[in-house]
Amino acid sequence: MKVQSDLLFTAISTLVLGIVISFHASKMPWSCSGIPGPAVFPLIIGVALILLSVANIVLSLTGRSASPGKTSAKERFKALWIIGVSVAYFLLLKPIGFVVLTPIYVICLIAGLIDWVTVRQEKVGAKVVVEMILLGGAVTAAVFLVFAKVFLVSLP
Amino acid sequence: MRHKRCLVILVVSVLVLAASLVGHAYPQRPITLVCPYGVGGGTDIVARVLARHMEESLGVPVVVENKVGAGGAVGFSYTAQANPDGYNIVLVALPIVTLPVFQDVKITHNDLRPIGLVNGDAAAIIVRANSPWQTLEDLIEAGHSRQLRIGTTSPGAAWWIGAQILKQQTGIQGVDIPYAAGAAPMLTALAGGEIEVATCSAAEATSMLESGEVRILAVMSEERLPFFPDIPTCKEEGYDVTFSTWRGIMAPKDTPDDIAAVLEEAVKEAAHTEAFRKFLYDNKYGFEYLNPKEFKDFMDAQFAIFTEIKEDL
Amino acid sequence: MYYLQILVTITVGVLAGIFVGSIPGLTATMAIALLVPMTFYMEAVNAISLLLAIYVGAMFGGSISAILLGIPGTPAATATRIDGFPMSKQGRAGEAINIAAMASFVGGMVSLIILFSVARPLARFSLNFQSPEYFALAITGLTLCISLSSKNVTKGLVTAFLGLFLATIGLDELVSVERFTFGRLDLFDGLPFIPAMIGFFGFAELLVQAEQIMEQRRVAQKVTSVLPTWNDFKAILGTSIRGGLIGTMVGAIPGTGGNIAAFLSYDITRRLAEDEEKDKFGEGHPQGVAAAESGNNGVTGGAIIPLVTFGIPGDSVTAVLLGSLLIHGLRPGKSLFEQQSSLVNLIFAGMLISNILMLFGGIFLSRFYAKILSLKDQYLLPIIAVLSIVGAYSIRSSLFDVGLMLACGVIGYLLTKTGYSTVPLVLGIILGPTAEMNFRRALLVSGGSLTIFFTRPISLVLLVIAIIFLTSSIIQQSKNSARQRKMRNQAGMAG
Repeated sequence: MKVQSDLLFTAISTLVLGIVISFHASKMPWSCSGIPGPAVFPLIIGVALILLSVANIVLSLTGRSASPGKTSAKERFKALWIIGVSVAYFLLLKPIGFVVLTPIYVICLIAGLIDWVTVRQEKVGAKVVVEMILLGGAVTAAVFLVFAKVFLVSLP
Repeated sequence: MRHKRCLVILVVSVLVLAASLVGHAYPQRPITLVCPYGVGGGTDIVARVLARHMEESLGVPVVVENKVGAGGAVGFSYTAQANPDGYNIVLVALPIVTLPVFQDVKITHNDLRPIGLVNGDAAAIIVRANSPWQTLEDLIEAGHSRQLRIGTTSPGAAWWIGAQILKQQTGIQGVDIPYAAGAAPMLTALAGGEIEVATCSAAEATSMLESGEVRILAVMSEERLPFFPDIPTCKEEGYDVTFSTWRGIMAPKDTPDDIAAVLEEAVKEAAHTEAFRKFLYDNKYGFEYLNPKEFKDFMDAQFAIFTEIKEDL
Repeated sequence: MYYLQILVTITVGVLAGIFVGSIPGLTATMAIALLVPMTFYMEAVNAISLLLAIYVGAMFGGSISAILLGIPGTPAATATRIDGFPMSKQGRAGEAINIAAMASFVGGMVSLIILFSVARPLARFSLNFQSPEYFALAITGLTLCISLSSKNVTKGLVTAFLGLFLATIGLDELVSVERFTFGRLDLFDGLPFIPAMIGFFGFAELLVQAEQIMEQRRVAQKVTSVLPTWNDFKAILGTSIRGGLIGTMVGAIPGTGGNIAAFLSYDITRRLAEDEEKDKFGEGHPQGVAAAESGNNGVTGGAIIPLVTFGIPGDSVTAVLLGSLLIHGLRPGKSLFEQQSSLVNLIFAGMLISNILMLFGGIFLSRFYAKILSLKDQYLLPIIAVLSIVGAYSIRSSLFDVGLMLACGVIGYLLTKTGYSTVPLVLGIILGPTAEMNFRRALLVSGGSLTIFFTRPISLVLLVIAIIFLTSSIIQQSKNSARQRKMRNQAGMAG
């Protein structure tokens, strides 16, 4: 009977969400001109989420929930790196602008994803760095051309 | 002596050159015309056709950019906050005076500078082709004896207001059935029988009118519409009901006078071109034009009317 | 010479459509909207053939990135992703794209045949679809959530309800009350669908794959023998014809589009499959791809039906098409058919050619597109990241949407890592509003009486179908868990 903690975490989150939704929904009009009002569906959803979350909590506490494999900290770092860099990109996009920021973004992402140990072993550091910079520039140029020039989307 | 004269000539020519450059300084790059409504819709089409004709007198591309959302508020706000350099304008419609009244929207027509009104579409009272009512009076009689199913767009939007005005002025009793996605699904519901009457512009009902699914009982305008000379106005039928939606160009509030003047001229010319007027007529959009001052007065008056209507509801 | 010019226009249109469709964030609606002003300068036939060619191409194109990257290039390709993406993970991307092309072709052709023959009666029939019927249709679609999450019902339902919740965000359609918008104008009209979809499918998948970068090389794509054979075609023909029929009918109903058609086709195909096959759906079953793609391309002909008979757009692309028709002085309705029949015939012929070109173009391009996946992960993932961000931005030129996409991406990642599938979530977002609004509106019409859903024939039939689907899913579910329990017991006894 092992407790599956990550599953528990998600289940509790959905439970909390269900409670929040139900709370907000209860403040909306229940009925308007004789028909169910804006409150009804969200309330149903909120209650359903609460019930299902409880079921999931029970399942994860008793170790019966189906779950994909575990990931190591190193692997998880890759994903967290992407999230972090992407959030930074999002925040800096307006002040810095697309054309300048995107190559940097691409290079940072690649840098975080590359297995530097192997690179050092195979002594291809220089080649890898050049590839990174080239890709950064190429992606920015291609996207800019297609989105901004052809489709006239005004990128920041 | 000679040097002094040379100097004067030099200074004068530089000044003349500078003045001529300033005169030609605008426009130099493409102008963005924001359309606060979806691609392919009524306002979008008017915007695109108007833009094309404005390009002729402005000499630079006028690019329509759709900024959809919140019934138009997203597009209105976007332009209100844009750079007042003459390169950002917006085609506003009736909602700019109704949204602040009926919804909690913060933007009003006073946040923008009027350039010119280019179109007005009177509402038409539309029923299914095989409905039992032949005149407005028939409909009103029915509406006094039972609740009619009246189609509207979302509460606060133009055709919803039209329905409220209809009910207020004629005493028709009805249940409002809203279709937030616009006049098209509303008309489909009318054709299918889910609703019994709806108000919207002739332009939006064009294709259903021509395919014979629906017909107009009366129009809510001062005079008969040029493309429907046989259809009476509500006034003729004895009910003082008028309501139209309209569209006009506005720019950010602080746009400088000289740039605004160029825009005003361009819009006026474009709106009066033969081709534009033909386009409007063919697609049953009403032709109206108001210059900036008249436009502002018009919007103020509309705002007052709707505030009053809201209070009566 | 005249015909050659139209042919060139159509070819350009189809290729452009495939390209636009294959990039998440660029939709057919955007491409068509962009070209509308350009089409002013063209003759009506050229202009409309071009727009229709793009429409056909894009409906197929969306499947390409759905298969390769797991991000549907257009919302209509969401159902394609369910089996298409796993197929590409197994190294069968080229095969999947080929199937998508062939199925799209069959679906498109079926819809054209119907358009030619029974357009007017079908249009008339579609007028019977009012609020109760839309509700019933949405409910039928939502039962798919249960069958999709057969492995894990409680989790699947949670994500489905999450999706339904996200769908309630925005201004209530019927009563103008703000729900969960927290005052943000950006959320007034609801959660912007495409950024959310890119986030839940694209960015989330990106994060999951980043974790696995350390592991062995991605499965090599079989790009050598990628040309499909006649047998391959025959294998998916039945499913595709069925999908095309469903797509045409759904397309003819105003307000519904490729999304719903694809999901319905997928669901029905799955239910009709043999029991052992059923489990393979969702893990790379070719019939799944065929069903989805034929469904969404079936919509192309279907949506034209209400357009040319009544001037009612069947979906957002035809709404733009309607605008374009009007600009050219062509007014849909009886007059179009009677006065301009040669024009109408040319347009039909144009769509026929578009479909054929799309088939060949798709198969030809599949090997090039599939090669994209042979890029090393550390280069491919950043490219997908940039595309996701720009794609999310482009819909409304909104930075808020980018932030939203990232948030959905992180949430999707968390959900996937803990065994929740994001597919019911997206389905909930798509179908939620239709279900809720039409339910309430139908009650407005009936004066509060629920019988309206059962006294109207179409609504009744659809609801009965939904109940059948539901019960069969529940039976399936209990069969599954009984089987699993038996296996566990046997393993226990053996051990």
